[in-house]
Amino acid sequence: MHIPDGFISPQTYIPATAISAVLLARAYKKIDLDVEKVPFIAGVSALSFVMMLIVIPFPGGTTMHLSGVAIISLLFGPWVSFSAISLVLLIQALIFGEGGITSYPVNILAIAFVGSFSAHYAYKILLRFSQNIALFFAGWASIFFSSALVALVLGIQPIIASVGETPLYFPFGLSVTIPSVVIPHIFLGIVEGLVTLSGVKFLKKQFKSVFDA
Amino acid sequence: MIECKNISYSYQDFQLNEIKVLEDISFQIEKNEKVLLLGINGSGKSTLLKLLNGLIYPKKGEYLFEKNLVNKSYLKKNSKTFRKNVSLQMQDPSAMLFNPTVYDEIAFGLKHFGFDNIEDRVHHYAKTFSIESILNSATTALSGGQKQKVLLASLLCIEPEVLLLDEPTAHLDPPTTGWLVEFLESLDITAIVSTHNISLGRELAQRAIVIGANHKIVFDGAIDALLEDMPTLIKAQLVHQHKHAHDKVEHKHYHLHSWN
Amino acid sequence: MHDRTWFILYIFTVVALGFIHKEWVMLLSIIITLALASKARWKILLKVFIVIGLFNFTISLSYIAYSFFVPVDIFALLLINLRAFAITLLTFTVLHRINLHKVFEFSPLLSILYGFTYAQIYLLKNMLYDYYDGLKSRGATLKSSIKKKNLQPLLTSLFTTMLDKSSQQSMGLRSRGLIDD
Repeated sequence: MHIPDGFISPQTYIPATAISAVLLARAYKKIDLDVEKVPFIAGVSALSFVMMLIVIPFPGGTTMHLSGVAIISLLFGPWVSFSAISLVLLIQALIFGEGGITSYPVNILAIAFVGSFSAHYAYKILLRFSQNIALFFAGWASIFFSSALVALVLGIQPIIASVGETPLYFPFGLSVTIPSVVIPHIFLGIVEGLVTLSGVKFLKKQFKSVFDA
Repeated sequence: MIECKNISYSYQDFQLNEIKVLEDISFQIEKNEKVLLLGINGSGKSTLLKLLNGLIYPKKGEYLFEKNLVNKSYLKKNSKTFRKNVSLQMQDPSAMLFNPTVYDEIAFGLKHFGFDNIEDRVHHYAKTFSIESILNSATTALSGGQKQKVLLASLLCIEPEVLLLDEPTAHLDPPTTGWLVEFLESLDITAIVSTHNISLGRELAQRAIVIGANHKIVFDGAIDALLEDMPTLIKAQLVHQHKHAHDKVEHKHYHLHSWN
Repeated sequence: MHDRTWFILYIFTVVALGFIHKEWVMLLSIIITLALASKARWKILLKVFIVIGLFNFTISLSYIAYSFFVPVDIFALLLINLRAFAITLLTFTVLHRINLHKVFEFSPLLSILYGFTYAQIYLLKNMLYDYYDGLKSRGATLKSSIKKKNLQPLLTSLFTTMLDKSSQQSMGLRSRGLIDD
């Protein structure tokens, strides 16, 4: 779901950079980041990085990559999750070439911020019904809302940055991006929701001393 | 210089079970003494070295460094002196490397503890450890053995009084191991070296402290005496047996030599 | 030139390439970048194709298909693809030449964060691939075998390793005097 370089206009990524800078500064304060906490953030980042490499089998023989954003957010809190995943996306963009540098601010807003916080709030709101439902929808929401923002940002490119009818960046409008990006993610979200449900429950039991404190 | 009085240590694992690591550990180490810390994996060697480095504190008992009780309040006041004088090389060198290049890594301690002639000192230690050719490399790109050498250079360049080495030969090939043993021997320094490779012993140190599988000291004395004390070696699981032949007669008995 | 100067220059170039809508500028940038890449250019070029190939190919093909139904300017694709290529090529070339860790050196916090994150990613990534290799060597396939049952021990070892390594790193920082007791 990472957007590569060349598809997002400066008209989009410059304001997106400003917004993500403000949010990251806020995260820095919220976490109260100092040298002592650095190894922990480094660890959570590495964990998210590796979770994104885990392959989940899909009915019908295909596979998908886990996102893990919801698991990280529910276990470590949305601000830690947002910071760690932003760091992961930077390293992915610069070193592994996954996701571009100009699309980096949009990617962190969609995947790291919206992903972490939609999981966090979905869990909080639905917890009154049942923990299982809350965990499942936290996972689902982290995928669904991220993809919705990606579809929105891609889809407005032809509207805000074209010369006449000729697109300069991503060429398709909202009528194409919303169905083609969002609809598959409704289903991918189900798998993510199931993995989040079993993963969080299992890890909380395994690591009582870390997550019950 | 170093004194441990009846130290015990335990911790809670992730499932909240209490895990015993060290029990009733007492010993004294004099200035410039070199001691080999022996024991099987999981006996508590690494934990003891962390205790001596003031990274964790005993649950019971006392640790005295130059007659000072080392605890939170002592370290709060004397952090800089203590950290300069007592250096630990942890089992995993990459947990202690955090600078962009090898040069920066060695220079870090020198700058931090206020040394002069930093460039000369970095080059001197790089030469000693034969890592001059990688001074501009990123530390993350190095092999295990190179990381180990970079870390040792970074620790020794600040001229500590006490050097705590946790399995220093774990990442080294046989020739480098030989070189390191000789190098450590030549240093006028208090050193405590943990290993389960007893064959390193004699060249490196005269004294051995052995921690048994029960997390208590089972031997403290001259290495030569230890080597002749087969019951203790067997008890501490520092020897192994396997079938082999002498003069075509196949048999089994306990061995001292290491596997590598 | 210092690594940080290179990096700032790189960011400026990337932003500039986003604002200029001339195919020849993209081509010029690609040629200069390839010259800068010197010996590594074929390796980098291959990496660029692998990384942006699928996404750009899908978008381009869909756009061509789309053009049969809706009258659109098909040549827009040339600029879009050249720009994506130019920026990605520049990223890989610059990152090949500089030590990214040096860029963060102005802040000890960021520098350590980068160093430790990289070290942990490396460690956990190797663990994951070893785990996959282990499955393969024991006769299981990727697609059939990563079930809940297999995922649980994998998650446990990843979390245990990460928590252990983080606490080792904290002690490492204290031991070397970076964190005052």
